[in-house]
Amino acid sequence: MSPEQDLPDLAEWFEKKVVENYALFFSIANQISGNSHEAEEIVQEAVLKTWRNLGALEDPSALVGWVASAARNAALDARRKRRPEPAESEMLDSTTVDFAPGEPDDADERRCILEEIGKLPVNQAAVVTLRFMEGLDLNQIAGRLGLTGNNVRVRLHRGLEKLRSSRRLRIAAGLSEESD
Amino acid sequence: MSTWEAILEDYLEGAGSRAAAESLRFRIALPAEARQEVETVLRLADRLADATQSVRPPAGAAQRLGDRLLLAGLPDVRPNWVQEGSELVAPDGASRPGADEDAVNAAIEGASGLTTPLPTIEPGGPARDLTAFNEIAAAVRRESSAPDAAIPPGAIDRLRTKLAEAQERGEGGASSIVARRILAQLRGEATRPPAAVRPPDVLAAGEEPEDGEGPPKG
Repeated sequence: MSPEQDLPDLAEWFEKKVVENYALFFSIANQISGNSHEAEEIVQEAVLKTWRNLGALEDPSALVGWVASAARNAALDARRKRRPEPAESEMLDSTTVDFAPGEPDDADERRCILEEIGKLPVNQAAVVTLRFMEGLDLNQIAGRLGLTGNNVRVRLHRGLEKLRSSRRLRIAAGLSEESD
Repeated sequence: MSTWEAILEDYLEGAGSRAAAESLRFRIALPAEARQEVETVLRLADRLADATQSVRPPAGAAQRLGDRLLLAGLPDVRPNWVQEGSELVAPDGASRPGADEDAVNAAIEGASGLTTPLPTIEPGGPARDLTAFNEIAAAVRRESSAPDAAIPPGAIDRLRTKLAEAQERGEGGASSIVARRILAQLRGEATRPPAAVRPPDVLAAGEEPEDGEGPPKG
């Protein structure tokens, strides 16, 4: 590819990938931010930063994971700037995100579950989100993230196991108590 | 792995149907513990789907992002990718996403033939704990008699380097505890089935989430 020929195609390719995976990036940011407008800003900045630094990405199949990671880091930075780390009890109060209609208790429960997903390493959070938000199977997730199916399987189960070991999530999701 | 565990695992992975997983509720011979596990997995999946699907990006957000991209100019550095048909691919020799994790997975699972399900073994996240990893590698060799050649070339050296760097940055931790637990799993001493749906001890409580990949922060 010569520079003159490839860049228009590159921009088109990049935008297509970003738009296709926008819901994932937004969810990753939102799991930490809890505010939909801030999450949109975070994703925009993360995507633009990734675009500017695209030359540092060795393998284009890693793009989605890369942007997800950038979104997560930006969300953590934004949260640190906004306020000190919240106490465990305070985190249940952050309900500023736009949720689908439901009972008030549903919103608290959802927020808590999303926060627990947001505490996972981003590579596990992305797999769990794609699996349950979009209903993708392992091969579909592997295709999105440029990973092997086995890698996705390991990340999914490790993520789920961590979620199950979270007392907050077990309470919020109404799961029975398990020994840690 | 028993049949009911396999059905639950298939469901969690998207390979099996919800109906098949729910049908486990009506198996008369299922032990109480297994029945409880079925209910827990179904509920967990429901709650995760409900929570993740409840988040909706603001209307027009993707379009606004596309508009900003149009004004963004060119990347500071052009990627060194190559075009194959309509796809962009990495040049030969580029590191593939997840390659290091795959190497550890292969070292544990592929080379050894151990029966412990891989997802229950957490080798220090994406390889952050030097002691744990060294003990894993030693255990794999010891228990499987697998030649080093069965492990992807250079994988251990790459991981060791990463782990040493992580330790220098002070990211190591709980080495001996994690290593002992991993070794216990490898030797089949763990007594907490079923593996795919029970949290293993090696997922140490209090472990900070870590970004194992992606661009630098800031």
